[in-house]
Amino acid sequence: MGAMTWTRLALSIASSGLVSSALACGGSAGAKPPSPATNQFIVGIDLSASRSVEALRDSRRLLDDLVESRLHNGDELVLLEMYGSSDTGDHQWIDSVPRARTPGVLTPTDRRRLDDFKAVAHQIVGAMFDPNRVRRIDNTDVFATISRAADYAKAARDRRPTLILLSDMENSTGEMRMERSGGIPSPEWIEVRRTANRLPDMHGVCVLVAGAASKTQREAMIRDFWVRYLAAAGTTLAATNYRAFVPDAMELRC
Amino acid sequence: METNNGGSQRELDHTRPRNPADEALSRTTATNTTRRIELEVPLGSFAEVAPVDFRVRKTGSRLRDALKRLLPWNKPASVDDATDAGGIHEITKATDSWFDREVAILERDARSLAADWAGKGLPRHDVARSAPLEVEQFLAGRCAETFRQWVDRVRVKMRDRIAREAQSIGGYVGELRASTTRIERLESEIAGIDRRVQELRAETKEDAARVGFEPIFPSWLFFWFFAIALTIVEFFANFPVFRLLLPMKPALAKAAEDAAQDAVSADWWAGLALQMKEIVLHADALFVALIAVLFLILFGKTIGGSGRVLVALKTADQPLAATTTVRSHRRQHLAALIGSLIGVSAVLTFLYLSRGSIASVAAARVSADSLELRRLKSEAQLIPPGDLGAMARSAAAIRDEMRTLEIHRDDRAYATTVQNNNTPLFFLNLGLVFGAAVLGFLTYRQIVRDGKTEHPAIVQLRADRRSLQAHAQSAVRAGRAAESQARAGIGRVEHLMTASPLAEWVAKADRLDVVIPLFRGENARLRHIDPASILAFAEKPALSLPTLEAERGFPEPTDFARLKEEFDVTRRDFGAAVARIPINSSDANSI
Repeated sequence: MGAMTWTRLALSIASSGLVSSALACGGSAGAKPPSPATNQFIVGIDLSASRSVEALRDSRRLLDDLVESRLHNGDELVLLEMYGSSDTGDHQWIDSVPRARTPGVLTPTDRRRLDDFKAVAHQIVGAMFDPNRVRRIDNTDVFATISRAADYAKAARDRRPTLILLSDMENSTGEMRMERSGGIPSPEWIEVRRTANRLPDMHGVCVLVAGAASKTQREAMIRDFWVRYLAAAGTTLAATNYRAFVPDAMELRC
Repeated sequence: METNNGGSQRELDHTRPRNPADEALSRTTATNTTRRIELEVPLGSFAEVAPVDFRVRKTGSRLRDALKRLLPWNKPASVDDATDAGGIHEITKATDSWFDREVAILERDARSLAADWAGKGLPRHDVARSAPLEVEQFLAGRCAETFRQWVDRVRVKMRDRIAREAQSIGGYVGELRASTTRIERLESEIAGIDRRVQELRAETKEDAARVGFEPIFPSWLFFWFFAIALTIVEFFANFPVFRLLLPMKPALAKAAEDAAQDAVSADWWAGLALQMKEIVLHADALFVALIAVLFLILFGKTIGGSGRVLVALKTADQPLAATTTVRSHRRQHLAALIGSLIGVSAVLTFLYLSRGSIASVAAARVSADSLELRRLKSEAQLIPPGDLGAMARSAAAIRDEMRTLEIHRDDRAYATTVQNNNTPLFFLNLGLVFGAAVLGFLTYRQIVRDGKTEHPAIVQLRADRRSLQAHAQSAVRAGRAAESQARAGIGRVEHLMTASPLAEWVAKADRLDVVIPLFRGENARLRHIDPASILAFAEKPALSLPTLEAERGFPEPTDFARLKEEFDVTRRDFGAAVARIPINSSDANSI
């Protein structure tokens, strides 16, 4: 057999073998399982000076836990600082975990992307809870945060939106300061705005509050106000989801 | 008279009587009132039947015409040449011109004499003369002389032409004879070659031992199993080197990393899948490594095969008939062996040197990645606390860079290991090449002569035979050309002998007959007298032309009959020689 024929045959066998092996190993793993449901977590973070250091630490721990245990491929995370987020884009962060290449099958690449996302999210969370920044913030705009969350929830597409408010829920802005006496609006105030269609559309949004106590009468009035307000906005804030402390992020569900 | 084709001349030219006397009577019949002149149109002669060019020539200067003739692109018309070549007209053209010129001079002199006599009132119109006028006798003498000269000129030219044609026929017959002799000699030489070939074939049959060798391991399965195994082992031994030497584009590297990570699973084929994906994704390294390995194996196998030929085939072991072929094979395989050794040395040296510096290459990439990571981190420090987007982008970039750095650190560790094992890897490569050489040695097959081949000298004899056949072909062509020329020459001579260029003597005589009447008419005209009124002109002009000489034909050349006979004999000999000689080149294949 001539040298050329020998070379040609060996080349074809070797190359076809390598390529076919690679293709075979990278082939499909059978029937595709159904795509799992994905979530959109919108987290409002109250970093105002009205909150104690412990409350902030609990909020950060809960947020880290949320990032670590609740995020999956395809999920979207929106972090909103509850003081200026409605006005500028500097104090909010939105990103999503890349979806799994094969729905229902978590490949190492998907896992790595998820890990990368979590790492970045933890860094952002750390930056948000930076003590040097926290001390300079003295207002909390819960209304603007809910309105912005409603907008993000509209863009959730196929994700289930969940709004988590890490706040004491005391709105403290120039228009409304709930910490003051008589600062909590009445139900009529809500009704007027509902009638005027000035409330955000929160239909289908699961709302949870972590960091708001209901021990005092004022705190209870604040809670009742937000329950009514959110009910008027189209969603339900259950009393069990209006908590001062949530130990496990797995409890953050409606 | 026999023609070349065997028919009688009369059959070919039945309008012409053979007898010269009859010819004169039959060609021109002169009566008192009319004369009929038969045109000379020989059969097959294009020269005299070709259409005449009736184009009107532009009147121009002779100098311009001469210059036009000198210009190379203004070739004279071939039709005119053909018309002149070898025909009667060509022979008599100059003579006719001469005759016309002489008659013109005579007519001019007649007019001059008429004027001279008229000026003196001579001849007297009222005096009858019993004898011809002296001036008319003078003119009649000049006319007779001109006529006789014209006849002589035509006759001499025709004889000369016939003699020349006969001479050329002799030359062509000589050429034909020479071609015949040459063909006979070539036939003899070709027959000698054929005899020699038969003798050599008889010798080859006695010495037809088989020269060559069979594979030590003739199984094709054995060959291909080890060939593929060697290729795979060599590839996997060298592919990582090329992967480290040829850096990938960042995007491709990332895709490769993802693919590699996806391949990691608990399945038993995960390792193989990871390796295959890495190989396929490093396409450039894959092809370079594959080609290098294939060349190594090819060189190795060639070394083995050529070494087997050099070891197994010895001229001292072979009969004389195979010595030349064995030497040729050994020479070719020695060249292949040397070339393959050089190729193997080059590839192995390249691999050795590449592995020797591979750690530094990988370390350079680690250094570059470390610098890049440091830069990203320093940039991250400058991001404002509230710019969460920039912070996230920076964190992602840092994480990617860290991962790349991690990969390159792994590569550096791997490269360091490879570099530290450079010498053992060199010997591994060498061993694999040696394995390919052994495979080539064991499986090579070379048959120099299978016992059915012919004697080497026959090849040369066959070439000589083809050369002789080529010479024979040229000799046959030359002979046929000479035969054709000789046949044409004989035809021309016979045509010239039977032709009658002097048959036009009556027309010439008519031209001369008018000279004296011209004198009389001109004399009378100048004297304003009717020529019939001059009694001296009452007598008919006393003009007597030598017509008998013009009516004779042309004799046959002395040796023409013998020449024709010689031509016939030579032609027969030539035809017989041509029929005997194997003129086709394909005949050489039969020997």
